Amino acid sequence: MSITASTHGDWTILSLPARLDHEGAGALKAALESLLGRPVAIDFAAVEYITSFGFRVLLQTEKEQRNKGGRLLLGNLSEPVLRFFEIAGLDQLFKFAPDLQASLTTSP
Amino acid sequence: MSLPHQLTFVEEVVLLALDDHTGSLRHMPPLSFSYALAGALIGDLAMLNRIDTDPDRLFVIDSKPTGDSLLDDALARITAETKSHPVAHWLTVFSQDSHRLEKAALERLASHGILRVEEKKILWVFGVRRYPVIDNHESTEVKTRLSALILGDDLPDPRDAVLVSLLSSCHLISHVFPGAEHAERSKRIESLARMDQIGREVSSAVNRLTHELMAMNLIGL
Repeated sequence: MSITASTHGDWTILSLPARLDHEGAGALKAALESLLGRPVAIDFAAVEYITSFGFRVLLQTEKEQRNKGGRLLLGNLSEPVLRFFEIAGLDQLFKFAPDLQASLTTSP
Repeated sequence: MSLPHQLTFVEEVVLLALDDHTGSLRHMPPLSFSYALAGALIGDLAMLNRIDTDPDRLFVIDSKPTGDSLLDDALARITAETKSHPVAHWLTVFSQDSHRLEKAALERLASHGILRVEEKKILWVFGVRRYPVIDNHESTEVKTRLSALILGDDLPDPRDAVLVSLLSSCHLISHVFPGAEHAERSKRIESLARMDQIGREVSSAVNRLTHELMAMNLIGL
């Protein structure tokens, strides 16, 4: 389960694999360690499946980013994946970008 | 005094369910406490990275024992099961063990010096057991933390999201936090309680059972 990293201006973009389960979330957590406190975008374009483990890592990341003055943007979520966030009421907690590249291009 | 012990969810839920004055468990809606304890057990396994869940199933990600006999019994049961089942199935299974979970949690809390066991006689005949808290540090710490979470707007630690979910599912929140300031934060509590799947499943199971019981009452069963 590998996370690929790229940059766009000040933003680091982490592209997730298809499964954000305990393995995918573990890889995400490791990738985020050195990035907390900075602008981070997570690209969900390839994601088809998320488990509770994955959601907990995302929640913890959002919390840490807020505490450290960083930013977190979740981008390119498919409708089914977004629906999982809505069920958990997490759609109100994160910032989403339906088109991540477009958002980063216009983002301050 | 022993070193601080990180309480499991099972221990925390049981501790918070005790009435501070009488040392008895508070009255809770039927079966809700059983399901909350079952959810606590599953929550403990999740926090220790032994299980994971999705909307359709609960599955083992690491079958290595945790060192906690209650958790390891549950983990072994889940591991031994060849078919996959949703969280709701395991909540029903473990809720049937809730008396054992409750008893074990009380014994552990007593062994950590947090409460003591008192045997009392009612009307000189009926024996009842009470569990007055003798060291309220743990209880105060978790109540302070959760109170700040409920009254504030910070994101919860995932562990606290599970705990709020569990307490909310068995209607303990209003007992643990009886003040008006918490009552006014019901939307916040609801929002926190939704954040973790295990807590949501416990609430769904309890609501479903409550409706079934009401329906049975209505038709005279």
